[in-house]
Amino acid sequence: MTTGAPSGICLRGLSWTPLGRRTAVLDGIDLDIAPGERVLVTGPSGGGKSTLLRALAGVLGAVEDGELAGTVHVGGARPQGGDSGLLLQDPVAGVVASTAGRDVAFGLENRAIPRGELWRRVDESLAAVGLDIGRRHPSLALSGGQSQRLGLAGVIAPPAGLLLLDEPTSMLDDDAAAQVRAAVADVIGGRRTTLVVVDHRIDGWLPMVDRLVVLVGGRIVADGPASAVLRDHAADLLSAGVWVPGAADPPAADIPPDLCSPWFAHRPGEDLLLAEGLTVEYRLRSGLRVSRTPPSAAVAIRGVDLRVVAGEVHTLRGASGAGKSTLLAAVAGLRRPASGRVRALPPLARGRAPEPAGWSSREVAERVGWVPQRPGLTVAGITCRASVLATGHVLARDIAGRADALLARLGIAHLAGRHPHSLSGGEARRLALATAVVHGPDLLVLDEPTVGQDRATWAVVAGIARAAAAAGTAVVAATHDASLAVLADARTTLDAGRVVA
Amino acid sequence: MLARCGPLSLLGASFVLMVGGLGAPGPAGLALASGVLLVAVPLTVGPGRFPWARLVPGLLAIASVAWSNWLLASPRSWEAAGFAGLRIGFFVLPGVVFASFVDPAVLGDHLGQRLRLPARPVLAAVAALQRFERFGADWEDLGRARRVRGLGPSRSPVSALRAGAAQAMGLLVGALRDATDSAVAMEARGFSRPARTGTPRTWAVAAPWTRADTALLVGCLAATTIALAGTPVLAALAGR
Repeated sequence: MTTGAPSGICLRGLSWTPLGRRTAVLDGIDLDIAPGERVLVTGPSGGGKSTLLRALAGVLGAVEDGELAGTVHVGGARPQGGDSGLLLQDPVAGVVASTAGRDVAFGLENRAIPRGELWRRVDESLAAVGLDIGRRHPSLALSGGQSQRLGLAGVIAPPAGLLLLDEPTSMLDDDAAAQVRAAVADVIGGRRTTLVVVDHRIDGWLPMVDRLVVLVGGRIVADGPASAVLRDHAADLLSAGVWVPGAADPPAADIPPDLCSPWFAHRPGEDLLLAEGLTVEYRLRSGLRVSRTPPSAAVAIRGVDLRVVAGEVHTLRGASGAGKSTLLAAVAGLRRPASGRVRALPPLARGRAPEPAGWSSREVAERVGWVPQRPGLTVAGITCRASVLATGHVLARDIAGRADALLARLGIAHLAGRHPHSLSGGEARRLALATAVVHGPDLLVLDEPTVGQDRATWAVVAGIARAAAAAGTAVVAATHDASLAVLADARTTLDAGRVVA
Repeated sequence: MLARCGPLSLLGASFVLMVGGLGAPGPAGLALASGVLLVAVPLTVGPGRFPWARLVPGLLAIASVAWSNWLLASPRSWEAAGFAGLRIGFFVLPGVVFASFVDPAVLGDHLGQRLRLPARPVLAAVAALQRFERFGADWEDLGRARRVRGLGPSRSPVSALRAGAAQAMGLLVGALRDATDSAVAMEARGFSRPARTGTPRTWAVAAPWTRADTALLVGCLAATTIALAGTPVLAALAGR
C-alpha cells in the first residue's frame, strides 16, 4: 500500500471564513510538521479540526465558497486534491463509486496505477481494515462502521505522502477500532507517510503519535510532544473538553428533567413497548439496472426480544453491522418486521393500534423521538431553531421555551439562526438530539448519540438521556461508547442480528 | 443475452431502432419489423424477472401519439394513427428494455476506454447517474425521518400530496448538498489529478466488446432494414 516520500507541512497564518459567516473557523494557524511526523489533533466540537484537514488535503475552497488567507504548503507546494489521503468525517458522504471494489479503486485509477497492481492494492486495503464484504458489495448497503472502514481502505490504497484522518474510528466498537488503528500504524510504519489524525478520543492513538495539537475556536492552544502537552496542559485540556487519558469520565450533566420530560407522564418502571421474536429484513437495492439475480433480502435482525421500560436508559451494543440501527428503527415504528412483532403497551399506545409501524406520522411523532445515525436526516427547516420547533408545531405542543433552553444547554444556542446543514459533525448530532427530545416523546431512540462529542458536550448529551429517563421517558440508545453504556440501566448486546447478552 | 451486453451496444441498438422507426416509409415494413422485435426482445431479456411495469410510460406515450394523430387528422384514419404510434413504439419500448441493462459505472468504463471520451466529464456523468440511482433509498430514509417528525402524510389525499411535495423538495435539496459532499470526496481522491499532471487515469475494470454486443447490434440493424425496406419490397411483391 502507501509508499513514497513522506510530506512535510508548513502553515502560515491560515484563516478560513466560510461564505456568509462572520467568525473564522480557522483563525491564523501557524503549524510546521516534519516529514514522517505523526500528529494527533484534538479539541472541542466545532473547533475547526475537520476544516484544518480539508485545508491540508487541498480541497478547502475547491468546492465550498469562503475566504481563505495565509499559506498552506504540503511537501513544499500548494496541496491539490489527491496528493494526500483524506478520510472524511461522514463516511457515507465519502462514497465515490457503486461497489466496494470500485470505491477503493477510485483513487488508484486517478493515480494511473495499472489494473493488475490496482486490484491487488484494493484487496490488500480491504483486508487491512478488516472488511470482508467482497469487491462487488454495494458501497451504500453498509452499516456506519463498515462504511467508515471502506472509506479508510480507499484512502490508504493509493500512495500518499500524507494521511489525513477525521475521526476514523468514531462509529466502531473497540475491537474494530483497534484493528483500524493497527491498519493505520502499518501504513505509516517506517515513517514513509506523515499522519495527521483528528479525534476526540485520543488514548488509542497516543502510542503511535509523536505530537499533540489542541485546536480551540480555530486557534492552536497547545502543541508539543503528546506526553508533555498532557502533563503541562492537563487542566486546560480538560476544560477545553479533551478526553485526557486517565481522567475519569465526566459525570452526566445535571439537566433539569422538565426540559426533557415526556408530554404524557409515565410511572418509572412501567413497560412501554415489547419486541417479541422480532425479525427484520432489508433488500439490497440494485438501482435502476436490472440484475439477473433478484435483489437478495438480507436479514438484519432475527428473533430479537427487547423490553422498553419507562424511566430507563437501555443501551444496545455490538459490532458494526450487528443490527443495532435496524432494531432501533423497528422499535420506533420506522421499519416493518418480517416476522415477530413490536407491541406498544397501553401506556404508550394510548388507544391506538399496538404496532408502531401502523401508526400515522402524527401518532409516531407524539410518541417517539429519533436521533438517526446521519444526524442531518431529521432536519426540517432552514434555521436550527425552526428545525427543532417543527414537530412541536405539528403536534400543537408549545415547546419554544424548552427548545431555547435545550439549545443553550447543548452549546448551540448561538447557532440557532444558522442553517442546520452548516453545523460541524458534533454540533449537528447535538441539534438532532434537541430535535428528538424537545416535544416530549414517550420513547427516545438514539443511534450513536455521542459520536463526535468532546467531554463537555458528551456530558450534556449523557445528561439529557439521563434526565429524560428520570422524567419517565424510555430511552434506547445504540452506542459503541463504553462511557455511555456505563450510565445505562439495562444493556442488550447484539451479534450478527441476534441478542447474545 | 442482454445482461451480457455492454452499454455501448445497448445504447447503439436503441439508436439504430430509432432510425428505423422514424425513417420507415410505410406501415407494412414497420409492422413486420415490430412483430420480429416483439418476439425477439422478450427472448433476449433472459431468465430472471424483468420489471415490465417500466414499459407503462412508453405504452402511454404510444397511445397518446396514436390517439392525437387520429383526433387531429382529417379525414380521421385508423391506419395513419396506428402507423404514428408504431413509429414511436418501435424504438421506445425496446429502448426502455435495453436501457434497463445499462449500469452507470460500466457505462463510464466503456465511454472512457472504448470511445476514449475525456475522463472528467465521463466520471461526473457517472456520479450523477449514480446519485439518481440512490434516489430510491434516499426517498425511503427521508420518508422515515419525516414520519418520525410528524411531517409525513396523514390519511387524507390532500395531505399526502402536500407531504409528498415537501419530501420531494427535501430530496432535491439533499441531492444538491450531497453533490457538494461527493465533489469534495472525489476531489480528495484525486479526481482532478490526471488533468493536472497530464498522466491519464487508468480504469479498474476493462470494457470488452463481446459477441453478445455484436449480435444485438446486428439484430437491431436487421430489424431496422426490414422497417426501412420492407414496405417497398412488399409492395413490389404484391404488384408482381
